[in-house]
Amino acid sequence: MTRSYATAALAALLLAAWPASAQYDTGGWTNYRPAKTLFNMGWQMSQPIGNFHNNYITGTSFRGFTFDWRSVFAKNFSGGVRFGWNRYENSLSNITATTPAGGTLTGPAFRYADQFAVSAIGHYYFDTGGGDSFLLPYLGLGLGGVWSSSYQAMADLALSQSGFFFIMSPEVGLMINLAKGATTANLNLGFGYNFTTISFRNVSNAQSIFETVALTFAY
Amino acid sequence: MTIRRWLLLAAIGALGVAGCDYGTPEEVVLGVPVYTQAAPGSDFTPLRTFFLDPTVDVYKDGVQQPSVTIPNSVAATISTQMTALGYTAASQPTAETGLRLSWEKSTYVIYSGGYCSIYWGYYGCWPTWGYAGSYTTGTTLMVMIDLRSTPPSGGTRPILWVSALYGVLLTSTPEAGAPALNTGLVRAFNQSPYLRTSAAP
Repeated sequence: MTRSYATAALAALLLAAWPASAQYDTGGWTNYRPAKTLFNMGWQMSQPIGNFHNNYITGTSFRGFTFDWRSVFAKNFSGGVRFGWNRYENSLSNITATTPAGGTLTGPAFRYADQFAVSAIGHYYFDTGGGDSFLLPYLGLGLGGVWSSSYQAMADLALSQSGFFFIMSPEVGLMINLAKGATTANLNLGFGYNFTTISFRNVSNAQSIFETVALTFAY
Repeated sequence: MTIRRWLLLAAIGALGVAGCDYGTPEEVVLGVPVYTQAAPGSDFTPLRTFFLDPTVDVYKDGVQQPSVTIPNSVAATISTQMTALGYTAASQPTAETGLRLSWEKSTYVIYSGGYCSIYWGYYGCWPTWGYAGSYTTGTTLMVMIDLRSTPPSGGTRPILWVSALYGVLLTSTPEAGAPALNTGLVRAFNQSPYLRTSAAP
């Protein structure tokens, strides 16, 4: 009799436990589910090159950010939209400039250039880990428009220019996985080159290189 | 919740970087740009004498104020520079060129094209070939006027050289600002080597 009760109790316990076990095994978050959407947000440094460097800004821009949205539309490929901003500025203790009428102007000067870009972007990811890689290198390309605003001042004498131009931005980068789950977080390190048709004063087709430190969230 | 916090921190960081100081540095705003220009086609090599007018015109917000006397150190600076370029100081009736200063105490921007200086009964206006920029408080203008010919009645004498020292006199009196004015004047002469006459050593 006692043996019968014990058997029945064990059966009841197993039956009661079964649904909980089944729910755990079929739950979604531990299963592999490839990310379909990525958000990338971060800080960007940039260095002018070419005549943008030689004729206007000699130093590095530490003021910049990038934000982009990417959708994975094929294996290892994503497409999306990027918003980016860089501000370049320079203070010069003494420069000599020639006025349009042929005069000479010398003195301390301040210059800046703001570039706000909106680009369509595409990326290819070198995923060797079946979507589970700790390190994920990538290649990317951005094509779009950039609004440029530039300004030059000597005391209270100032000139400014602005316009909307073309921008092309190839880049290479590496995503380092920080956390996995239904949403994954990555540290995103990127390096790229900006070619633009921005032209003002003695700058033409302003170009720069940039480095990005960003966080990418994928789900 | 964790992801939201990451996003929030990233957004705050990006905005922090973007929101840094955006203005022109003080050392540039309060700097002293110096502008100079010679009249097109002018030739300074035959010139020999100059007269430095001891009177400095004063304007405030577009209205002429009582004139002031040029500080001794400023007169000495100009004379030294002119002598080095081969000019000799002369009295008013015989000098070939005249130098006169104008001090703009304006509190708002004035376009330099509007400047005219009364010069021995004739107007020597800021020339049309000169830089049509703007200036504000403390700018001092100096013009070199050609005195070799007498202008027609009511006419103006030709300007040979102009200079503008931006923001150089931010003081209540020219004497107080003389060191900065002298520095600006030396720069004006240094960046105008074409003023040299054939009599220069």
